[in-house]
Formats: sequence, C-alpha cells, structure tokens
Amino acid sequence: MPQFEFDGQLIETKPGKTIIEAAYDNGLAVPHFCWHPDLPVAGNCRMCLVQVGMPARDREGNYELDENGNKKINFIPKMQIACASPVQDGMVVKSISDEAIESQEAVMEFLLINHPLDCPICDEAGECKLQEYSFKHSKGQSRFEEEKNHKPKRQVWGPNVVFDAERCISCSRCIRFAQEVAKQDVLTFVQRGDHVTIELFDGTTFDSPYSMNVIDICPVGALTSPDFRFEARVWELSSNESISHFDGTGTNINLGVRNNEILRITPRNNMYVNKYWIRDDARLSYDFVNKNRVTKPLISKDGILEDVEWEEAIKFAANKLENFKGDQIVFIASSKATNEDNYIFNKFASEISNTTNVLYFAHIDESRKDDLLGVSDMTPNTKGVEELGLGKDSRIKADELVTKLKTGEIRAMYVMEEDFEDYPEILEQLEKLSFLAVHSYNSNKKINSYADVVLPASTFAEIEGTYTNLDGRVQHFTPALVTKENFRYMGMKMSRLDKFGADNDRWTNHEIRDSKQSWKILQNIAKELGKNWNYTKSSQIFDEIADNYNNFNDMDYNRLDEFQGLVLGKGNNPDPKAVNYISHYLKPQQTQKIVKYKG
Amino acid sequence: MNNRKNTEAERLTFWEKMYIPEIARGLGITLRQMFKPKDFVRQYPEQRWEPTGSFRGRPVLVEEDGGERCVACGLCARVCPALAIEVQAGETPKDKERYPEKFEINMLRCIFCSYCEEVCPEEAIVMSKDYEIVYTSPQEAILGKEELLVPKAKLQDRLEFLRQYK
Repeated sequence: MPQFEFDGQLIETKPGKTIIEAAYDNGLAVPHFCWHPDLPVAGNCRMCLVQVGMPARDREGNYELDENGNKKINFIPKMQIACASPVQDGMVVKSISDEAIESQEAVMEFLLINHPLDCPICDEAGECKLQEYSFKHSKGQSRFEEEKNHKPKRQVWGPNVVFDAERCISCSRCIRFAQEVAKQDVLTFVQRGDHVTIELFDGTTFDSPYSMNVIDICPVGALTSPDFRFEARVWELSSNESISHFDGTGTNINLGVRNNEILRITPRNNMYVNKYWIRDDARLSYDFVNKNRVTKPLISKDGILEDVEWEEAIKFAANKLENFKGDQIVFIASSKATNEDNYIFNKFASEISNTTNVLYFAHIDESRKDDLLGVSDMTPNTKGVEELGLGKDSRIKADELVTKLKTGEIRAMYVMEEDFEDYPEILEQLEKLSFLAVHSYNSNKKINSYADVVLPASTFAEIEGTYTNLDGRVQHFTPALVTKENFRYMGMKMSRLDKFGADNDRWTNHEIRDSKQSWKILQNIAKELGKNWNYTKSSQIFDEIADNYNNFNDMDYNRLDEFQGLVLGKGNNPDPKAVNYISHYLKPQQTQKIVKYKG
Repeated sequence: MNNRKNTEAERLTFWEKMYIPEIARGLGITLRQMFKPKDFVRQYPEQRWEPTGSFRGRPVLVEEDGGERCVACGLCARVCPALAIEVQAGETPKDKERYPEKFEINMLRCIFCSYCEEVCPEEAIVMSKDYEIVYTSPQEAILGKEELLVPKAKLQDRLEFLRQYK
C-alpha cells in the first residue's frame, strides 16, 4: 500500500489511485472542475494543479538528508494535475503551497477571461463551482480588459437540456458523460482556442433517458433544464433528502421545495444504489405531488362526492366496514406505499375484517429496462410488500379478482394508494361493489368516482417511512412538504419563504393540505372500531416490523440513515460506508483551512 | 477660530471671555427671531416638500425603453431583511433572457433600508422620493409591477446620487 504525504498529512491508499482520488477518499478536497469520480479522467481544466515531489536519493540509493536531518524532496519544477498523477510510495504533494496556490489562481483567472459573469441571470448561481472557487481559489480580479467572446446562447440539445455556450468552461464532463455513462455519443468539442464550444453531431439530439444528469455535473450554468429554467433561485429552495417514488431502483434524491411545492428533484449520491445518477423520468415525476390533490375527505352522497370533515369520513368508513367480514371484502395494498403503511394495512385487514385477502398489483413497464438504473418495476416498494408477506395467504388471487368482482362474490374493497390505471378491466367492475374505500393522492383518478369514501393520502414527500428497493435495500426518508398532520416535522428543512410567511403575504399561498399518512388513517378507523392501537410515529411501526420479520432484524431508522440503507437480512452486517462525492454544494461548505506554508 | 488651541477657555477670544457682551449678543439673536416672519409650518398638501436625491422613499422599479431593467435575479428578495419582496422570473426572447413575471413589494413589510437598491446588479430597483404611502387594506399594500414601474426620467436625482455615493 503506497503511502504519500498530502499537505503534511500522511495518507495510505491503494496502488493505482490518483492523487485526487486518494485525497477524496480521505476527506480532503483538491479544487477541480473536470474530474468526476465516475467519469474518465480528461485533465483539461487544469484546476487541480499541485506541487509533486519525491525524496532525493544519492547514487547508493540512500535518501539525501538536509541539514536538519529531514529527507530532501525534489519537486517537479512545474505543477502537476492531481487528477491524472498516480500516487507513488513516498511521494510528497502540496496543494496549498505558494506555488500551487499561485497556479490555481492563474487557472481561475484564465477560466474567467471569457466567462460572462452573468450570475444574476444564471440558474446555477448559488451552487456554482466556478462561483465557489472564485472565492476560495481566486485573486478576485482580472487583468483581462478586452471584450469577452460571444457564443450562441439557448441551444437546444434535446428535450430536457438547453446549452448556453458562453458560460461553458470546456471541462468536457458532459461529453464524457454522454460517451461513458449515457452511451449516447453525440457531443463533441468544435473550434479551437477561445472559440471552442460544444456541439451535437449533425442530425442527432441528446435525448438519452439520463440526459439531465449533465445539468447536475456541469460545474457552471452552461447546461440548464427547460423544466426548472428560471423557475427559482436555488437558495430559495429547501433541499430535503428523500427516496424516489417513481421506480424500484430506490434512487436517492434531494427534493427542492419552495412554497410547499416540489420544484425540482436532483440525485443524491449513494454508491450502492444509483451512484451519482438519476433517470430523467424519475427526476420529472413530481407533478402528482403538486397538482390535483385530494385536499379533503370525500363521501359519496347519491353518487356525488362531497367534502366532509375527517371525523365524519372515519366514522362513515368504520360503520360500513363492520358489515363486511372474511371473504366478502378484499384489501388492496400498494407497492407505492411504505413498508410501515403496508404492515399496518395487513394488520388492519386481519384484525378488523378477519380476512387474509390482501393483494397488491404490480406496475410493470418493460421498455424502461436498461443496464444502468432502468428497471421495469414502476413502484418503489414491491420488494418490501413481498417481504412483509402481503397476499401470501390470500384466498383470492389477483388474476381471479375480475371474475370474483363480476359474480359479485366480493362485495367490498378497501384500496390503499392504488389507482388501477394500469388495470382497466378491474376499474370497470368497481361500480358493482357495495362499498369501496380509497386512500387517494390525486383527485383526477378514475377510481375516486366509484368510491364511497375517498380519504386523502399523503405522498412520499409528506411522510416518514421506508421503501425497500428491488435489490432489497431498505431506505429511510423523511417529509419535505408540510401537511396539517406533519406540521413542522422535527428536522424538516424549510425554505426561508416557507418558514416566515404570514397570512397577508402573497409569496406563499398557504396551501397546507389536509392529507394523512395511510397508517394514521387506518389507525383512526381501527380506534373508531374499538381497537387500542397507539402508534404515534412511523419509527414505532418500523421497530415492530424489525422485531417480527427476520429479514428486517437489527434495523432502525438511525442505522438506516447512518449506512444509507441496509440490505434485507443483513441488518447487522451493513455494507461498508462509501465515500460520497458531492460535486456542487448548495451552501458553502466548511473545507480545510488554507494555511500557506513555505515549502 | 484657531483649531490648534485645545481647551475651551483657550479657544475663546478676549470679547467672549468678557461674558457680558456675549449675553447681549445672544439676546439680540433671540430678539431678531421674535420679529422675523414665521415660516415653520408647511401648508401640506398644497405646499409639498421636495426631498433630495439621498431621500429613501418607496422603492420602485426603473422603467427603461418601455420595459423594466430588472432581470429577476432575486437578490433583492434575498437581501431584504423584512422579506418584503417577492420575485418570480420568466423567460423572454430578449437578450437579457429573463424578466420578472411577478415582482411584488409588500409595503407593510418594507422598512426602507435600501438594501435592495444596494444589492441590485442592474440598478433596476431604487428608492424614490415618494413618501406619501397610504393604503386602505393589507392587500392594497402589496404593490405589483404596474404600481412599481417608474420611468427613468423621474428618478434622475436618485440615480445621480447613487452614481456619486454608492
């Protein structure tokens, strides 16, 4: 194992690692633009210049010593790039010596020559690497007095990517991403010198299902998304960690929230799940949280759904449910709901209605399957529902459901967070039921019109819970949006506007939805029917799951957070903690103090 | 008067040290004021006060070439200590790319600190001389773009002042 000295600190690393990789593995930062841990090394931004030296040896091979008895170091006269210099045993690297700082500042000055400095109108401002380094590694002034280059703006690369050539600093991260990760080699540098720009090959568009990741990895604001373009300044958003609701990958995400609305989804680094990336469809899948929500419980009166208060809806559902026991009723669980909700749902079915008829329906899209993150499963928690054993003992099988509905054998149905949009043959039969209760997110779903009672359920962005992805990794997430139920959940990050809005301010429209997490709705009904359930938070339910199911043993929310999720059956044997790389920070991070020393 | 002399006693002239003539002079000033025509009360609103360029009145948006200068960067909203400003950007085909789709100042929140003016990179929001700020309802006090836009010609004093002292 080679050992080398980095800014006076002795670092041990694996053979073959470059200086920047070894530094990042040990929590030390080297300024860089073009280097990305998952992309091939290009070495063209020159920002990571460091001073590299080896101990001097005499002809016999002994170390030469200086007058103080220390090893004499022969530094390479010119600075080396840390991203392409492999570590050697005994190497001495200085990233904050006077010479290194001088060359880093020179590179910054060079990069800023043709950068337009239109930060006020740039979407990246606030989380821009160039801005950050202008503070940390720049002199703060330029000697370039001539007019800056002008290049085309607003070039459309694909349906989800817009390119501004002026802002580009030619780091080639997007080109390498398109080649190596998205496997859609359509981007290239054209021209030379200060005229260099990036263009698509003739007749191509950059429409890979991963294309929007280039927006995240672009160190400046050259790449923007038409979806989020000019929508908000990044400092107006709160950034809450969550898990993608869209598919079975369990992509780790950050939710950007302002005015109680999700404005963007960005990927969060988890080396065991999605690495640094996210699929475009998962990224753009937040509309159902913001729009067309069921805001109040609804009860069908003479075929028309009417708003009622929660107490009335709960009482209504409880009274009706008492009439249907055993095989007359079927419970439809959902792989869109959390482990906690499904566990309580199962318990509810057996304790309230004495039935084991709990089913769930898969949502499959085979066309999404690919080698990177695409899976055919369109729900986040299929594995979790299977693991909890829902539907295992059911006497009604899913494929029989339509015929049973036709013959009228099933008279009631309780549906949690399922809309049957992919199963029209079931939707058609629903009006035959004498009682249908639905936990629903959205008001525009067809199933609501057949329901006797519609209970507004909270989406993944408003609840605390866990999803189990297709690899069996259980991941914990917390709310990002405010509802009446979770109002100011402990630790929830809120944007400044959301925090301080008053009633006469128009910048917040104060839509605080009256939806509830599914297990809370179920508990309320159970209480109405005389059960003594006393869960107050999701963690209690998860602890109960961990006690009852072997595969969930040794898991709790703190451990799930600590290890970025635990794999089923390996609760006491977590994967080693990976080094997370964050390319851009929303807020300036505390980094190592720059101490200039003579070297 | 001689500044090199430090104590008050040293700074006084001979006649000032004599005391009596100074009392007479002071009484003379008072007597003169007694018989001067009185001009302390302004006949507002017929007679209005015209503030100087340094006055910090109602913040307004500068209108130039038939549109706002503002590019909706949101820095004023960020810096505003009272959270009075809300900006929502939109895209325009013009060169500057973005414009404020919505720009609202809640005058009930505004504390006239002029931080918005100071932070503005486009000199698009400035403090006007408008000091008659009266509203009959809280909603009326939230000013939109129509109320805020003021032609550049009317703001010359303030812009001149900013160029000199900002």
